[in-house]
Amino acid sequence: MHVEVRGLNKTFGSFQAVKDVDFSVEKGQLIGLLGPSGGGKTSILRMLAGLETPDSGDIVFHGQRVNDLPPQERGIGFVFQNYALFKHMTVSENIAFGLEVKKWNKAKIKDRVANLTELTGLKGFESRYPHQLSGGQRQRVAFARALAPEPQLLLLDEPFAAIDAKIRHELRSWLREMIDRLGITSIFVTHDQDEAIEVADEIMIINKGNLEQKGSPWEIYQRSEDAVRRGLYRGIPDRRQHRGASRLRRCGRIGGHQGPDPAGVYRDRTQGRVHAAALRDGGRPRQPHPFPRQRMARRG
Amino acid sequence: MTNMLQSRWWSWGFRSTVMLYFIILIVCPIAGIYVQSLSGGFQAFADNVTEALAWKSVILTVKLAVISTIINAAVGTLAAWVLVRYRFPGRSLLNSLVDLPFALPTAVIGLMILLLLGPRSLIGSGAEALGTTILFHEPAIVVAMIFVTFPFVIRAVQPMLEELDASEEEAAYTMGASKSRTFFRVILPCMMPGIVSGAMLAFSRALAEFGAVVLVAGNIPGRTLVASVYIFGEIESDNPAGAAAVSVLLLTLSLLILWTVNFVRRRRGELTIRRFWIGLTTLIFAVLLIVPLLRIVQGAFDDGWSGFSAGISRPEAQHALLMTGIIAVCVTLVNTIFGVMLSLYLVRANWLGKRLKAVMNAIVDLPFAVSPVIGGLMIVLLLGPDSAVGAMLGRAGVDVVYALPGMILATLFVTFPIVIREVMPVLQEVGSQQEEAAHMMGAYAWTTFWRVTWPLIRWSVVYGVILTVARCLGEFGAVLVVSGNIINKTQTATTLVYQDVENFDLTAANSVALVLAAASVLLLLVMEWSKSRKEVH
Repeated sequence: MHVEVRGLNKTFGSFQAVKDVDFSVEKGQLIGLLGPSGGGKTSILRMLAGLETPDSGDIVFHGQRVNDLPPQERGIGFVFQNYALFKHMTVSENIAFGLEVKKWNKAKIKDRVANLTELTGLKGFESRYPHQLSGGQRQRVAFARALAPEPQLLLLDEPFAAIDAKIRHELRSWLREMIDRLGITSIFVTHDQDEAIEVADEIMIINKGNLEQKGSPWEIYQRSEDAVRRGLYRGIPDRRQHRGASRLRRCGRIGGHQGPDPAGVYRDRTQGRVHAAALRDGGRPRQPHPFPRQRMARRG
Repeated sequence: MTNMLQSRWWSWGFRSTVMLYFIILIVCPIAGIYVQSLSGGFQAFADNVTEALAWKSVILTVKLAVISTIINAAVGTLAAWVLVRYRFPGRSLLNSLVDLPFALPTAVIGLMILLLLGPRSLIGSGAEALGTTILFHEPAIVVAMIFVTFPFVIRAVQPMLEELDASEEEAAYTMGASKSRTFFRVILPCMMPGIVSGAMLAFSRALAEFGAVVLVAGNIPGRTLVASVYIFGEIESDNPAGAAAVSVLLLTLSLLILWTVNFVRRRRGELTIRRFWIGLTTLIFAVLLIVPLLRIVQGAFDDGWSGFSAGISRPEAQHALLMTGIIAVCVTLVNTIFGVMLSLYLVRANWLGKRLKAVMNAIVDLPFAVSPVIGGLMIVLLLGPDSAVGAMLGRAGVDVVYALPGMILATLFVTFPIVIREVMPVLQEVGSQQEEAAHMMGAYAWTTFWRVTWPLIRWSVVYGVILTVARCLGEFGAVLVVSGNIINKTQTATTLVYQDVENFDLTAANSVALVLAAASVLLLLVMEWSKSRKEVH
């Protein structure tokens, strides 16, 4: 779905959360909204979803203004930061909820739920309750549940924030691959620059309610590198404090690693993408990978 | 789009109905009583209040309420501490017994104390030997007040203690603080908001208490006549202006307390002597709660089984129990539905302004703080035969006051906050995300409520319903004022107990009281069960 946002404004009391934000998202893209917490990213996401009403500005899906449409009619999947799984329902009931609401017939629902549990690797967990699942599994349920009613746009609010660092990498590449395979337009919010660079096709930096920068992950990476060098851009999280930075440098040393190999993540992802692109007939044209391996090798 | 319009109409309908209910049931009566008492000008109001007996009764009430609150704050804090910190056999039993005074009808409580402290009882004769009398004197009133307000401090302090991490205490020890120092510097400050808000609620309840006090106080004007009984007397002797004036005084005091409690609650967020203590707590429970209960069982069978069955099978007793049942059913139904909806609106709705929500939030608690007698008086003033609305309804052939509708209305008023206070915290705790998630998947308000919200709040609603039933069964003051206590017509079980005691027919009183007490204990058991279910979800 093509998404366009024009002159979006939102204030809470006297606090202006979003100031005159404009952007557009091409069909099939995966966009990362990056910025410090309290910067207005989540407000933008919630306005897109219809959970919050903008003070002014237009939200346009497919050339149609949707400002007055309630969330129920926007055809959006939303993955909440804490997943908001229905705690009194099992995994399969959670996934089936949206389909039951849409009055699908029982057999079709059963099929769809089976497909999704298969796709998200939740097979065997169908009758568990959310409190019986690990963080990563819960995220997969939230993802499957959001995808079930076949939304045209997927919104993810800090999808990895509630997961421990160990499996976060794994999930990032899993999600990236999943979205690639489905070719669904997606927007996710994060305060972690590494995460944005790793997962997104395009990154928008939101700070103090403004859209400050927009660019490919590589551009954002370079710019922030320069900025850090010059001691500018205090709004961007300091890249050096994240392990990701050193990982980027280490990427050259392929094969020299024990245990989880961060470079491997990139490698798998690149391959995954090639596969995904090949699988999709008439799939969207992909930009070159932001960190081609050769470049990494040179840096190392 | 038609779908949307329809749902909008529906939500408008729901909103205005609930708001109207709130205004009619809570706001109108309160406004009415202020208007009534000031209708004769401020001078008349002042005269009514400063009348010697009125003034004395207010002073006496405040004094005794302060004494009982201080005792309860100390005992309650101790009991909460023991119940949270120590594990011992019978702990959960004691914990569920705490709610007993909430569940027991106040008239039954009064009767219990009457039997326990009377001149023929062990305690009564002991006191007499020492040259004092308890019953029909101030000590009896204090005992009644303590019993009725017993749960407040405990229930307010318990969650604070549970929240308090043992590591905070341990941190103090590692820094070299002694045990007592740790208690006073670390633990007590954490409990303080709970103690204060619990004590405040206990105090306002003690001020308002009628049922238990009227039976044990002796009601000697100027000496043991407390304010709520004074108000009742004024109503009985057809002096609504005098009753309203004293009511306004108590009401204003209660309102002030409520605001303070709300304030303290909001601040909260910013905020091998073992055996001896356990023994002491158990003893307090036994003396305060269990012994009186046993005494009433014994009292009912003073004249053997036949005395009990005769007391119960009187036509007026059967009719009274039937009335109580009808009221309980109607009130529970209405207040559950409106309570759930109002809590939803108070927690979730963004069409209500923040200020308005805060004001409503404070007012919701008012029926807890207002003496039931005042609640009844409000309805008499508003809908009685002398009022404009009452006269109009009377011409239409509908009697409200001194008839079933008025009694239902009075009980609705008194039980109004219960369901709301059970449901609101749960709604706040689970947050709105699960509901938003349902919206995102295409579910509208109705589906979202039944599929997502209801399963989350279900057990709290059940808990609230049980409390409401208990309160309906036990409601005395408000119903007594509104019903006129006409035998075989508007007499309920509790007012019958009152009448029997007044007629010195203690065995008959005991039989009815025992039925009520048994129902309360049963409800308490169901309450415990639903509480445990509540914790599962």
